[in-house]
Amino acid sequence: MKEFWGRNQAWLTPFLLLLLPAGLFLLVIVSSTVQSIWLSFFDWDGTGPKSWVGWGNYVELFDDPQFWVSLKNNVIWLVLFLLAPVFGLALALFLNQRLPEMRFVKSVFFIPLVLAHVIIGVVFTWFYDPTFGILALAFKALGLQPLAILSDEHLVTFGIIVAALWSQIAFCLVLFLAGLSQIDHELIAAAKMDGASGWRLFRHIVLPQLHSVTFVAAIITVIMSLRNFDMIAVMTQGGPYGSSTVLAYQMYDTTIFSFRAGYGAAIATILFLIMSVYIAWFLWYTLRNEAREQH
Amino acid sequence: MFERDSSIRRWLVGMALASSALLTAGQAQAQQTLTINTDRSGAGQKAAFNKIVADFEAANPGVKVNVNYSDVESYKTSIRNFLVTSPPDLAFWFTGARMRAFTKRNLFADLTPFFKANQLNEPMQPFLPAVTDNDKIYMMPTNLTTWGFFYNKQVFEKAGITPPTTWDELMAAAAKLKAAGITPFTIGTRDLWANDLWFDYLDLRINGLDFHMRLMDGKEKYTDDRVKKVFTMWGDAIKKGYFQENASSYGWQEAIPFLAQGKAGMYLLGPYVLTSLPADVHGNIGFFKFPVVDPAVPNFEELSINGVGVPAGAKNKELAQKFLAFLAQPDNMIAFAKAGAVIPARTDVTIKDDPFAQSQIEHAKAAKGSSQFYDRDTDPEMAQIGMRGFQEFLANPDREAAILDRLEKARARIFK
Repeated sequence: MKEFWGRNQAWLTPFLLLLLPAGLFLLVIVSSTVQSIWLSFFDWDGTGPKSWVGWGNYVELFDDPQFWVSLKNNVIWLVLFLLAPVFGLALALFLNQRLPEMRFVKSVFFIPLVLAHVIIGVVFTWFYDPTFGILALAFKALGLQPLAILSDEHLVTFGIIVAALWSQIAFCLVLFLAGLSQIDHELIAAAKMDGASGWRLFRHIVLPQLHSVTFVAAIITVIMSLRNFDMIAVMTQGGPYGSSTVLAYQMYDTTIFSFRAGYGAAIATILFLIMSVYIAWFLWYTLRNEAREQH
Repeated sequence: MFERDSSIRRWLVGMALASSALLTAGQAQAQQTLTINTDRSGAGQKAAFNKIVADFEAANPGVKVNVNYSDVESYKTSIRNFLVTSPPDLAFWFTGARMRAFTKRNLFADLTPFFKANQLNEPMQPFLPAVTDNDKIYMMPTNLTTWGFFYNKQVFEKAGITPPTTWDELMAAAAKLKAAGITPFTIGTRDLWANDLWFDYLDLRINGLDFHMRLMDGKEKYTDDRVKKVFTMWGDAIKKGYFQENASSYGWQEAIPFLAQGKAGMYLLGPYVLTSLPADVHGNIGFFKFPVVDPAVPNFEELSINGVGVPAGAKNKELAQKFLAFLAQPDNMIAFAKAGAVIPARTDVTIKDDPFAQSQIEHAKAAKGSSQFYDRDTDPEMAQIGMRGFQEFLANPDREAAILDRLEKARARIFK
């Protein structure tokens, strides 16, 4: 036994250590995903018998106007959420100064990150309240008619995205501050001696060194935009009349309130397919980089 | 490694022994525990229910009752889960189609023998149809919510209005209020269901109970002329601007302050209006029932019956039924109902010291027939789609045809 261990320790140790996390991943993530995709081919109310419908759920989905509204909203979320790394980086550059007050200022900017999304959603609902909310009061102070953002089918998604961005920007801020603290100061000093400053310094010296951090921030932002559910559920319940629903919320609503687990699973599968585009790209990119580094 | 550290081994064995000792000690002291899940968590009803629970524990030594309170909206989601995965011994819920959604999936236990053994069939007779599915009784009715117009007395006085008894009078009152700069009807539609009252009552008053229940059962079309009549009348009031602006920004509860502060005149809702307001304002809030629209149609009302059932997977069914029998006693039923400004589901009780509650009992008794509530009478999925349609109609009354079309498509698919 001891000899076996001695000879194979090099691969046996990582294998055993990985067994638990890999096992959990297979059990919780992979098997659940496979089960959901399998469910999407049935008509099931969640507790009774299942009946096979093949592609029926998907055919109905493409005919469902709510699905297209959800998809459109998902695209809007995706595009607007990409502003989070941009603002996060801008804030990080601003906060990366060696002033004594900066510690306090940084912690204030971190606060959105530690608040639960549900709380952020509730508070923003009060903020947007068309009679008593701060936004309404600001409009009135300027002499304008207050906008009921959460009641307007055209503005509601943007209203919720603002609330979600508030928290996502803080997240990107943390990542970029960490990244900025890692950059090579000698390179910056050398560049300054050569006469680089301002935008050119940023674009050619700082930004390339933030490459991997930017990548991580972008990927996580994309995933968070597709995943977002808490704020929509709390602020508008997908309304008004379904105009702020996204795929994640529609999947929850049809499964729980309409007792249609099969249909909900079909929506979940579509969401998974959209996400897997990004996951595939992420894996390809990372593996390509690692392959490069090994040469 | 393990041979060397026998101290670690001894520590591990010691811990195992200690924890198993704790476990067995816990089992030895275990009493009977009754788990109750309820959404009746308003301050008044929570206190009243806690007292009933304490009284039950006192009358039954060795029994511990755990009550899990939840807010009404999230309970609607969680009950779907816990009835299947971790059923309590008693679960409070709505009756009618809401109950049948679960009984047809065999998630509640049959209570017909319980009713017979405790002689509850007679005092609860008018409420039994709501808790019956396939000739078996599955829930015990606890109390019923009455619905109607709650109005601000001072606002009415100032505008020179008296509570209207016909639709025309209601519209005239609304016009006067609007001219005085007050919102005639306040309403919060973010959580969807407050609108149902307008649709239900107009349908009951124009087309009668029979047609309404057939529509709920999916046997009539949403594009039927009679439904269009309801929408036309409702749309008329909406287009005149009589309803709260941006209603979908407010939950049903958030729209109540407008009534109390005199910014709005009336709210078609239930007694929650009173339980949501501090006691010192109650004197200023009056009640009148939904006015007559067509004098040829009898006086049908909306009476929503709440109940409690024993989940099919409950572990302590006998103890649960014992608690139900205790709760069914007239004094407990009255206390529980009064605390929530609803009326108890027993025909043999009167509430002597609360004139408002007694007036609601008379109001319920005077009804020639009743429906429960849109989202309790019709299929849950149809209810979701219908309620979203009403929410959209309130904000965009000119989309009437498109909305009715959509509802009809959903009805055809769901009730095939």
